[in-house]
Amino acid sequence: LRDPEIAEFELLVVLAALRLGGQEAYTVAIAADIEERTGRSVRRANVFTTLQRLENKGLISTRLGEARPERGGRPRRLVTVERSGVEAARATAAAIRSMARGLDDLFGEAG
Amino acid sequence: MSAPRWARALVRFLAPPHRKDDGVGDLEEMHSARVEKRGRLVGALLTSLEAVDVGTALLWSRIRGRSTPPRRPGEVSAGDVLQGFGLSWLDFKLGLRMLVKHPGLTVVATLAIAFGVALGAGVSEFYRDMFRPTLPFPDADRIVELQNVDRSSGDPDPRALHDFLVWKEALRTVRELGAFRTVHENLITKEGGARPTVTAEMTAAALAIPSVSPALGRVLSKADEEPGAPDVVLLSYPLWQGHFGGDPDVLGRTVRLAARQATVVGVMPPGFAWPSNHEMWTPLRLDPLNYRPEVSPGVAVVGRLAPRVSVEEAQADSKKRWISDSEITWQLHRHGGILP
Repeated sequence: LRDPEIAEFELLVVLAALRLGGQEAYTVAIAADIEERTGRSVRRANVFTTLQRLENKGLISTRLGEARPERGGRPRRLVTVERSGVEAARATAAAIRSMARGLDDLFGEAG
Repeated sequence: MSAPRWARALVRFLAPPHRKDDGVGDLEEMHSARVEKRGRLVGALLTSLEAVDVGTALLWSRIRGRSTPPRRPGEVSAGDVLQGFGLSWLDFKLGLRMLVKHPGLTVVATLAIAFGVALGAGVSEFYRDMFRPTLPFPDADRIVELQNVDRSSGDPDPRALHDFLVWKEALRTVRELGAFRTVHENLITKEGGARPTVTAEMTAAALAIPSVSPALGRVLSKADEEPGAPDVVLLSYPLWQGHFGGDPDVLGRTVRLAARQATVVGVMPPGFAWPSNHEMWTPLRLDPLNYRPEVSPGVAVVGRLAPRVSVEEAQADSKKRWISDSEITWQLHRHGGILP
């Protein structure tokens, strides 16, 4: 079987989850992190369904955290990136770096 | 300040079971932040719009079949397996659409497949019936027939009456050895008149091989084979129904078989057709002492393989124990020609 492939937005979500860590990576925080770092507007619905898709692919796993008052007493669903998710993100990122190499005049220094 | 109720309900309704709580929790968290930043009215409006957005995404995800429970790391899905064969669900979907779009082609393809399946099943059944027949009895694959074969011509030699006695004593790998022959006799009764029947003259052991109990009365016994024992007859179910009208008092009645009188002792159940499509069974009373081997009457010899003994092992055993002249040998094979 081939390694799972991830699309560009999936890569952003995985990278955001890795940056936030297992205790803070959840839908709202991941959307905010991508918005903050990329400057693009992110629909939370997209993050929600992308997490679901990544979980179905086995690239991430989720667990419920503690109930929190600001969420109406409801828990966060915390995201952990699995080893296969890290490998998929690394492969996709490497492919992007590789394709951008030699196009420094357009992208600046890549890779 | 909670998110609008309908917005919560929408997300809860459309989210997969394991995402309902945290989905609504996300909505509440975002709503609190919006209300704090932009006020209640604008916050409620934006949260409602977001609920619609999330609900639409969830609905679309559900339609595309992606709302299945999450899989564990390393777990392989059906989609992965299809992908391994160079296929995807899209292939099936496109195929289905083509079938719907071209109903004529669908009908022709369905008929072709139905014909192919029927033809394949027919050929398979024909091959099985012709070359590997099985008997409709428990452990039928353990039932074998012993048969003499003329070494010079390769033809079966039915003169096995004397051999039967030798095999019965010598063979350890085949048990319940019995013999039978088929005769045509006239059944004569006062009510039904004369009727030609296909009758099996059998030893009790041969009749007992299928392990089938009679519908009425008893089967043939070893004592019935003794010289001088009263003549008895066992009826098939169709014969009992047709010639005797299904009379429940048929047991003990005397019938005439050619020149002798015989007492009905039993009726076999419907569908019983052992060793073939016989209508009556009478004891086999052929005494080998009355015949020289080369002119003895033909009989078929059947038996059941001993437990854990294969046909090949039985054949090897028989070769060691066989006493034969140079012209005749024998082989062991499965009995065929049995009607269900």
